[in-house]
Parts: sequence; structure tokens; C-alpha cells
Amino acid sequence: MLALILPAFAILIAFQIVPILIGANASFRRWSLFNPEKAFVGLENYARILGDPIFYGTVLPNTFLFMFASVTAGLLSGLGLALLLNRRFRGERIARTAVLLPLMVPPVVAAIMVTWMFNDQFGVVNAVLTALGLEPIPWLISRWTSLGIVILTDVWLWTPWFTILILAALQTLPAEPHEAARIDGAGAWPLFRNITLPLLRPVLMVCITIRLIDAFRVFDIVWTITKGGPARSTEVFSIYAYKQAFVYLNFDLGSAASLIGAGIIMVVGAVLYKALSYAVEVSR
Amino acid sequence: MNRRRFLGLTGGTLAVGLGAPAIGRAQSMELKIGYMPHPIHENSIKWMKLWAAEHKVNLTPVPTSYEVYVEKMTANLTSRGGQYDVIWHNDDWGQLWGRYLEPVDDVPAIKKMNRFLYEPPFVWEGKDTGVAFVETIGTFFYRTDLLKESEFPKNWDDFVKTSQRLQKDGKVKWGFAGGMKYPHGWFTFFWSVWANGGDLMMPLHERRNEELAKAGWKATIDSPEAVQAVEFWWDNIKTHKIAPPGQPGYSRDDANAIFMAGDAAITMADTTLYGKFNDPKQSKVAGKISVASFPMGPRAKFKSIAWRDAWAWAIPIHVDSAKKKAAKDLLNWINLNEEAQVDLWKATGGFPPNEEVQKKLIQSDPVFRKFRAATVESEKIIHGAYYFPRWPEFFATGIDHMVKAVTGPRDGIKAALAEGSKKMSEIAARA
Repeated sequence: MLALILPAFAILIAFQIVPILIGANASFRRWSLFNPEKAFVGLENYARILGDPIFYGTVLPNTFLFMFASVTAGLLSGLGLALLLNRRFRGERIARTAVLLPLMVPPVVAAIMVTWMFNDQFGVVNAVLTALGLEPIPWLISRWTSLGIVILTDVWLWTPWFTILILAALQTLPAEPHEAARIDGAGAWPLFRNITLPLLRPVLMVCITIRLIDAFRVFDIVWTITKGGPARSTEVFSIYAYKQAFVYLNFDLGSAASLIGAGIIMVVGAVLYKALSYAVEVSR
Repeated sequence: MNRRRFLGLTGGTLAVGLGAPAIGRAQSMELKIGYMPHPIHENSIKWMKLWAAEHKVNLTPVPTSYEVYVEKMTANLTSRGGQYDVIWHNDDWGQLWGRYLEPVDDVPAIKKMNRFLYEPPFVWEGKDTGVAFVETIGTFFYRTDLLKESEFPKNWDDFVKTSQRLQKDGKVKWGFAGGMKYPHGWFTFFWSVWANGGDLMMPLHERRNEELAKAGWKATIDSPEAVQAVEFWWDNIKTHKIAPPGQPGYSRDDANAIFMAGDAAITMADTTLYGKFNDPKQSKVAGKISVASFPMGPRAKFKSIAWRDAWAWAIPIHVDSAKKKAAKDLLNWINLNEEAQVDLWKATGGFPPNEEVQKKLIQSDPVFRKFRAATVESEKIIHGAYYFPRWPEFFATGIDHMVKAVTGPRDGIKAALAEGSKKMSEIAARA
């Protein structure tokens, strides 16, 4: 039995554990990518990251804003679409397939598409604004419009994922509580709020937990659309760590930032796990 | 399949798999070229392929985007990776990679090049580490159907008035479009700082690290010249409206697209983009462009100024000696081959580094003479970058603060640049 798992275990050690250990080691040393001195400096790199105003003043707020805005909007859109698709109507299958399409688009491709849509000179969004007699907007030179576009892209990409999971959950809900409530004269909103939503709670919590953790690590769409700009104002955690390590070539600071991020997400994950356990317990 | 047969097959496959590269090596040598997709690189690779075919060498070009080139190549060099045998080496990476590159002083063609291109960018511990394949020089491109040569603005005031006139007459959407965000700040911020008598560090126009250290690694993007240059861009975008409002987010590709679409009268770019701008398949302004010197700022200290640098090919030090020799022969051949050097100029607008070829072009080619007059014959020639290892972080920090300044309130420009200067000085001092 052990022999069977040995290859997978060896791959895990070589490509996951060892790089993490090398990264962790680098975070305690002076280790630039172009000249790895490797002199031990203790917690100096951690102090520099935690004391960097960009890190605590821009990167962490952006990361948490992205996590909560993107997951909330994705969840609400996914829930809405799932409720609409959980009915019998003509073209139901076509509608379900169409809703799932964004799941098949690689995030980088979607991000390039969105970047062009919001291009200030050639983009379709400004073309529409101009046709309506409005002033075109340079979308990607302000923090909030740039961040808004990034969040919008993420929501577009992930809404189908929420939809498919919630739809699957809706189709497995027992019919009896709904029937009983209808007999008692409950309308659509009380039915949804007091019956459907509580029954969906465990699935929603799983979706939220997975997506929040995933959103913390977002890199591809932010890098493609803004690269953290303008002037670092849309940097999120993974862009910050990447820039430290591979743009500024400070592998030591990049590693320290990564480990700080790992610590943060472990705390967030633990809180979410507690909330998930509670939600499951309550709905039993 | 029984166990013995399975083991036999697996062993056989492994033996063939492991042995195949050795067999391949015995048959012909492979040279893997790390390059950026760009007309200059593609032209150089075209000639490399010709040499490779004659010498029975397999040439494998491996493209890498400019946006991730430094980090990818640095990781490859420091890990002694086998992905590349020859790499593109930009002038401002000299101090990062010097120790990982093969000295190339023994390539005879280097003696035919201008030493200014090499010192300090491509010299590491007294040895040359790259063989230049093109000179990279920034210049102004303008539309000849909109502006006569004599009408091209000589100073910033004219620059604004000329742009406004063309826009007002409905001839063009924007007077100017240029790259601004990191790493494209040369095409707006940097040229204007230099044209206004400023520089990024003290002492002015100094690039030797010893001298920069003596001056305390002092960044100067908060100097009056630099502040005025950023104010110039703020006004151009927000007050005069001669440049697109999205320009602070533009890469050079964004700006090039606007110019080639015919939406800007003037842009600033490397001469190496002349071929692209002049290609009717890609550009609506093909056949209607010329070049000019920088319009000078009100604090200019010289009549004209330009930067002059080179792109080089380099050989990672860990490449085996047979490949090193082949790579040096190849690079020497390209630079001594007059046909290849002239083709580089004709196809792309890049200046061939071989000065003997340049002398012949001066005699025979009026367009080349015009390009030289607009660039390397300027009163003051400087290097376009600095050559200490922290340059990428220094450069990015400078541009980020300039973008912050130009996208913020006008009265906040000085403070944003002072903050940037302080950070840049700290970064440079860590060199």
C-alpha cells in the first residue's frame, strides 16, 4: 500500500514541500534573486513587510475588499440565477448551458477581453458612453474604477460556479417543508427567507468558504488588467508578494510576504471553518 | 502483461528516453535563444537562422514577454537552468546579470562598436558581457501629412500649441500619445525630465556607481526640473487635453496603437519601431512619418539631448564550452555581416552597432542621416538607465510616484515626487 502512494508522495515532497521550505528559509535571510547572499537576518524581512505602508495601507485593504465584494456579488448573482434556473421553462437547457459558459473561459483570456472592453480609446464601453452623448472615462487610471473592473471580471467568471452548486442544492431540497408552508399561506419571499435559505445554508457556507480562500490568492486577473496599478493602488496580496520577489528581485521579502499571507489566510480559514461547522450544526 | 515484460518495457523506454538527448547532441548542436517578440529581435533571429543553417546548428528561439523577461531570465541564470544558450540582454540589466554571463571580449566585432554603448552597462569586472545587436535610441515620430519638418515643435510651449492647433483643426484626435506606466516611463516622464535639464539622480548625467555612491545615492525626481516635467504632463492631459486622459495607464504598446491608428500626431518611441510604424499592414500612418529631436523644456541646459544605449545578446556562463564558442561565432558573424547590419536598419529602423556600416549608411541613406541628426548627433548624449543592481525597484518606484503625481491633484505633485525621491534614494543606497 505504501509503495503505491510513494510516487505521489515523492512528487508532493519535491514540488510542494521542498519549495515551501526553501521559501521559508529565504524569508529569514538576505536573498536577492540576482545575488543570493543568504546571510541570516532573523525576522528583519518580516518587520520590513509589516512596516511597509503599501502593505498595510493598500494591499491588505484591497485584498479584503476584493474578497468580500467579489464573493458577495458572485454569491448573490449565483443564487439569483440558480433560483431562476430551478424552474421549468422553454429553452431551460440552453439557458443553463449559456450561464455556464464563463466557467470555460480561462481567467487570463477573460481579463484581456475586459481590458479591451474598458480601453479608453478603442473600448466598447467608452464607445457606448460616447454614443449616448456621455464623456468617455479613462477607467484604468483610478484606483476605484480599476478595482471595480477587476471585481466585475471575477464576479463574471465565478457566478456560474455559485449557480451550478446552488442549483444542485436547490434540486435536492425536500418538497414537504415548502408544500406545508404554501398550505399555511406563505408567500414567495417568506418561503424563500424562512424555508429555502435555511435549508441551503450548509451549501452556501461551503461555497463562501472555498471562494473566500480562493479570492485571497487572486493573481491572474489583477495582473492582466492592472498589474497592481495605477501607482500600486490596486495591488492585492499575491501581486505584492510577486512584485517583491520577481519585479524588485527581493526573493527574501517576497518569501516573507508569502508566509505572512499564509498566516493570514490560515486565521481567516479557521474562522470560516468554525462558521461552517456552526451553519451545518444549526441546519440539522 | 506480466511483471517481467512490464519492467522490461519500462526500462527500455527509460533508456531510450534518457539516451535520446545524447544521441541528438552527437548529431547536431542546438542553440536556444531567449528573446522578446519585437521586430528587432525577430530580424536578428532571421539572420541567426541563416548562420545556423550554414553551420548545421539547430536554432530554437524561445519567446518571453517583456513584462516578465527580467524575472524569468534572472531565475534561469541564478538557477543555472538549461533553457537558454543565448539571451537578450538589455543595457539596464548589466549589473544584475554580470556575474552570470560569459565574458565576450574575444568577439572581434565588439571592436567595431562605440564604447559608449558598453560602459558601464555591459561591463562586469572589466570584461564585456554582451554583444550589441542594435542601438536603442529614443526619438520623436511625427506625421508628415500633418506637420512639415520645420513645424515640428522645438520647445514645450510649441509642443502644446502645435498639438492644440492640429486638434482644433480636426486633423487628429490627440497631439501626442506615449507610454507612461512602468516599465514604459521613458516615453513620457524620462525624456521630459532630461529635456528640462534634470535627471533621476545626482550628479547630473552620471552613471558610474562609484560617483553615485560618493553623492550619497541621491534620487532627484523632486528637483525643480522633474517637478516641472510632471506638471507639464499633468497640464497636457488635464488642462491642454493634448494627450489622452488614460495615458498614465499606457504601456508603449497602447501608445503605439494610437499612433498607428492615426489618432495621434506625435509619439515618442525607440527608433527600432520605425519599421512597424511604416508597415502598411500594421499602421495607417505608414509612409507618412518622420523623426525629430526632443522638444526642450524651459530649464534645458543643452540645445538638444538624447539617450543612446544598446540591446545585446549574451551567453549564460553555465552553458557548455562548445555552445559558447558557437554562440560567439554566431554573434561575431552577424555584427560583421554588412548585409545583415543594413537589413536591420532598413527593416526596422534600428541602428546597426557596427560603426563602419553606420558610416556607409551616412553616405548612402538620407533617412539614416535624418535619424542620426535627430538622435545621436544631439548636443548631449546620455545613457537611458542606471546600472546598479537595485535599478528595477528604483525605476518602478520612480514611475509609480510619477504616475501617482500625474493622476492626483496638481498641487500634490511636489509632495508625491518628494516621497518617491526619498524612497528611491533608500533603494539605491541598498545597492
